[in-house]
Amino acid sequence: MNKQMTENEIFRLGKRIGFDYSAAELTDLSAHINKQLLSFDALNDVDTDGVDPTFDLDGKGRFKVERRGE
Amino acid sequence: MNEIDLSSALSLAEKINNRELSAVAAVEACLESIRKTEDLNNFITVCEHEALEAAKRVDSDIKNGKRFLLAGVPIAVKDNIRTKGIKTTCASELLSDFVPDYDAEVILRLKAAGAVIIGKTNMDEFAFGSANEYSAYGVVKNAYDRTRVAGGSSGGSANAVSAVLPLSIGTDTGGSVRQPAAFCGVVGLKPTFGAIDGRGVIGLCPSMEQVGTFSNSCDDAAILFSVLSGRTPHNLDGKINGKTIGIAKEFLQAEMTEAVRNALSLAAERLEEKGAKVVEVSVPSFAFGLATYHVLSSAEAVNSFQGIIKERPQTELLGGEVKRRMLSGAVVLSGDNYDNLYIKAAKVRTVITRDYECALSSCDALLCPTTASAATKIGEVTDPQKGHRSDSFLAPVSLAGLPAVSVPFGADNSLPLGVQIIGKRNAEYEILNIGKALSAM
Repeated sequence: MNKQMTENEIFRLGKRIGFDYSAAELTDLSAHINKQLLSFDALNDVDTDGVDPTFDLDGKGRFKVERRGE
Repeated sequence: MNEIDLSSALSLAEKINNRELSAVAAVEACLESIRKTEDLNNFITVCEHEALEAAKRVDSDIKNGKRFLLAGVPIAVKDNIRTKGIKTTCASELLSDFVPDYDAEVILRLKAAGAVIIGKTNMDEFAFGSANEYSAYGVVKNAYDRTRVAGGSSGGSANAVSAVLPLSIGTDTGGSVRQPAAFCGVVGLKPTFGAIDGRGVIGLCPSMEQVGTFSNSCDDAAILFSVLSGRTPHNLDGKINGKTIGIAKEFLQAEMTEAVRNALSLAAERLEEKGAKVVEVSVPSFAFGLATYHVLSSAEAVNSFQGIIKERPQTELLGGEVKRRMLSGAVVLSGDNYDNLYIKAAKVRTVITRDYECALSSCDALLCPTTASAATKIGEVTDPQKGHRSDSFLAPVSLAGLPAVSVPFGADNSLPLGVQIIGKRNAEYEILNIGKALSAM
């Protein structure tokens, strides 16, 4: 199961991407993010052994987003 | 009284090319219709002066012997597509004063084809949304029922064609052309990923975003696609004898209203009456499309958005949905989530792509509902995740980069519905032709 996040963790993550969330926003965001993380658990049901994760943009190049933060 | 028929781009262009009608008259009629339907809130900016000047130039060129594919046809443009000298806001307070100094590639092509940019349409802020309720410029009201949403994120563009225009363009990342097309009863085409040059589009999901078209017919969609993509124009004949249409069993297992299910069933019957064969296929990973899409799109969005924040750091001006999506992206890219979520979702994307391509290897196109229901009431969907679920038939197609068109078919208590026809890569004319066959009475 994807690890649930605390409001403090969300606050720090938000700061890192340039967002300063209010206390009220943090409560709503925390609920939304954690609900979303639970929904993402479903991806573990897909067998992806040996599958290439890179997306080839019509043969013009590979697309990938780099890791952010801790 | 406005007597000029603005519903067909091909018919309008022919009349203007033949000088039976002037481009100026067509644009004036369109502007009057826009004024009469101002309460729908389709437009953020109406370019009255620029449009009339452009129409005069088209008329002058035609008088001097030129002909244009879209001569004098008024067209609306989603407000995340750069238009030189005309405000381009992405429906965000953050960009409320942004005026680009160049046209996006699609705008250059439209102008070269004689089309007249009539205005910039309302949308969900930065294209994050499925109902056009997340705009800093207010909600778009569905022309069929003003208490209902027009869909999103290209709600203004779809609704403008439904109400007042022959053509508009939007962008589709996870369904943002196809879904509002279905809600507004118009044809919405999302081409193959990469088919239309996206330079000048303010987009945040570079591996999925695609400029798409809105029109009242598949014929008009075909000509607009030809102009935007540079592909040779192709006349649709609506003949589908011998074509095989696949319906995945997983589509039928998905959540949808009774009216949507009936529309799909009737569409299949109609295609068989026209000479096609309808077969069952399978897309085993279909149900994972939505989760995969949300992981990948939010990751790309937060990555792309850093460039915007560097120029304009006032993030307090952003709406709640943008903040949610940015945070989601940061979450999926941080720590262990990078491998467990982002890389995992990227692999699932490959599986989804293979499954769709495999299904399409045994048929000419796939058929499914565009949306699980008709347009919802404004304010009805308060849980963002519930709103996202309306994209279940749409998101996987975006992940696979395939072309798909939503054509109006069926209704739910007078609210329009749409069915989605999904094709192989670069088979835009094929799916539009199937759509034409389906639309013919």
